[in-house]
Amino acid sequence: MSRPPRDAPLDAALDAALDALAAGGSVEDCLAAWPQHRAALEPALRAATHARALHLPASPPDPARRAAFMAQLHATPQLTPRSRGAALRAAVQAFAALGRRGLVLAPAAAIVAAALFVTLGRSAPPAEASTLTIFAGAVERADGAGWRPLADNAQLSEGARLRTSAAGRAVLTFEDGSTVALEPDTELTIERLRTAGARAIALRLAYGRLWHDVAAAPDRDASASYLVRTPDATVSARGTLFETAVTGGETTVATLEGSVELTRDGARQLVQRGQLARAQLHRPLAPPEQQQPFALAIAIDAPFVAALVAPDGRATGARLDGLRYHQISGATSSDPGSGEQRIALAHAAPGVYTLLLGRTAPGEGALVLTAADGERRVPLDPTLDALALRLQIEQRDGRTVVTPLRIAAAADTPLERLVVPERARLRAAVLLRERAAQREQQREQGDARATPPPADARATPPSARPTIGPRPAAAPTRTLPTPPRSRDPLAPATRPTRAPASVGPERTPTPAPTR
Amino acid sequence: MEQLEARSGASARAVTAQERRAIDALVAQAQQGSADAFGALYDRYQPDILRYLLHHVRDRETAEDLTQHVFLSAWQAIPRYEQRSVPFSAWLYRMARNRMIDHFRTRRPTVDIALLDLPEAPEAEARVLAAERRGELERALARLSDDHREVLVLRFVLEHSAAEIGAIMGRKEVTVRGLQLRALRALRKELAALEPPR
Repeated sequence: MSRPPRDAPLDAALDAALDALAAGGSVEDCLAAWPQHRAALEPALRAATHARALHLPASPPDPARRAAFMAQLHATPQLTPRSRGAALRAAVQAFAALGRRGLVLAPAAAIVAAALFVTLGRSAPPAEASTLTIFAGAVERADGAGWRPLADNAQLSEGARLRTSAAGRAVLTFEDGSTVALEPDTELTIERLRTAGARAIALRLAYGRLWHDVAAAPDRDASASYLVRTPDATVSARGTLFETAVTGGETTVATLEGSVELTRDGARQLVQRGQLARAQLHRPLAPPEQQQPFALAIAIDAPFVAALVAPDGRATGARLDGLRYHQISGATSSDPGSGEQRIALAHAAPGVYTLLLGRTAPGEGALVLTAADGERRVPLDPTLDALALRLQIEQRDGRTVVTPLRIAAAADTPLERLVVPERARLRAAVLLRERAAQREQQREQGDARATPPPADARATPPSARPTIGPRPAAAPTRTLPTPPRSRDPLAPATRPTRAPASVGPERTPTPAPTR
Repeated sequence: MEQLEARSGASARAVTAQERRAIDALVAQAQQGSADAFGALYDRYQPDILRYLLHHVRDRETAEDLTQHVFLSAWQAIPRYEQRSVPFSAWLYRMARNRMIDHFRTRRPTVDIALLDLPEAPEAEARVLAAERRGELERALARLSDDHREVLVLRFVLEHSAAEIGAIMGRKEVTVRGLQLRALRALRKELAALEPPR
């Protein structure tokens, strides 16, 4: 490499000096080579000698990781190459020959080439795929007369028939962000898979249990469909959370958010939030029943967003970028941007869970854990930006009991395993922007109005829903309307006893995340 | 298939014309769907991408997971890669960079902290103390701006030239030279700030 001249600018001299250092030269040699830059070069080169300690030796890939990667690679289809350029080039070359025959033909050749480009470039849309994330046990795919195991992150398209083992737990993520969680001993066929344009997803559940998180259709597209066909009925949903199970000769549908429609032989049954419906062959559809109250609820009365990670790694909650996800069967999370975030589990498998909390704004607050054994309030340190709280969930005498254990060490802290399609990411980002604009608007309106309400105005009588403790007066006030959760069918029938300082629905709310 | 020589620890600037031809051939085969060819590219570049990510995320497990994601994404997208647009290694680094940005945009900090009213695990405290004893250099590096940290990692960890760094970061070589000068000055300042007063 040629050395820059002595009168080279400082950045060029430094670049060459760094090369010289890497080749074993000394700082003094470099300073002597560019004496006019000595004063500026010396501190930079001294820092560079420190920075050289950053170097890590490279080692070949770990064989186990490489093997796992190659297995994933074999299960992952490649994208199709962009063909428009090739189509255009071919068309232009073909018609250039025609064009050479005469100037009159040249414009025609260009027009036909352009038409061919448009036609050839608009090839048939590639088959859509969903992504399989395996959390436990094995998942197999029907292959001819037999079954073959699937790798984590496998891409599954229309027609795929898969089943989970007795310990198998997995989540399928579609390209619109909808997910379906497969419980153990479940067999599922993807009969239809289209999320581009009007959504058309159809699943066939032969046996087992599925938990669906159906993304809201863009612009409330009425033609969007999400169907689950079982031996006993068909379930149709739009933007909702629900469970379907085929066990013991019947289909059960439990809705935890939104509503779904159960149909069989022309009969229809609406299953709304908090309801459970059953369908059996040769029997009329019965009216839906009310579900049992939730087994565990976690209210985040603090400027944090939270996600609960189950022992098998599935997670339900929200992220700082506004994305919400529901991988744990029967677990719902409200939108932290709409008010106090609340994670509720309709049923909770025993084990050690991890609650991940990330701060969104300054301020104090607490968690309120509500289970069969009552309510526990866990204050959060206002100086901390992140928490990872371990929760032991047990079944005692048929009741769910939760015990906060300890903070998790960084090395032990599980993170969510999410597949986030671009559309879901964009939707969350748009929602965040809309919320921020709403907050700004309402803050301006709030400023225009007068002073905050007197302190005793917040001390309303307790309601039937789990409530949370007071927030400090200095905490920012949420300006978004509180969802009407007092009518929440998943709320406990009776409210556990609380300290008198607790407040009802008119409490000072959690500030919305500032992102 | 033309095999690549093992280049453990070799700098990217030592890529020979022969190796470049071998890489181009492997890329072409991988674009046609050859998993073996992509496996060879994985062997060649995985250590560099891992080191690059490791210096940014500072957690080996996370860095290894991100590296796997980068290569899986690269396998999916390689049919659309055009060799004329940017060197393959720079294309990979850009993917790694995007993945890393995505990681930092969405992750929650995992620094451990104490809840006031919960029993504290002794090992948690020990880990927090251990974290406090991290090297001054890494602490100084972590305080730099993203661009400054990026250029120093590419220059001193992965030993890329200014031209190669420019291809990875999408900047001109002359811009990178200025950037590395400012980055070293900033590093010097941070290191001085970390030193105890004498």
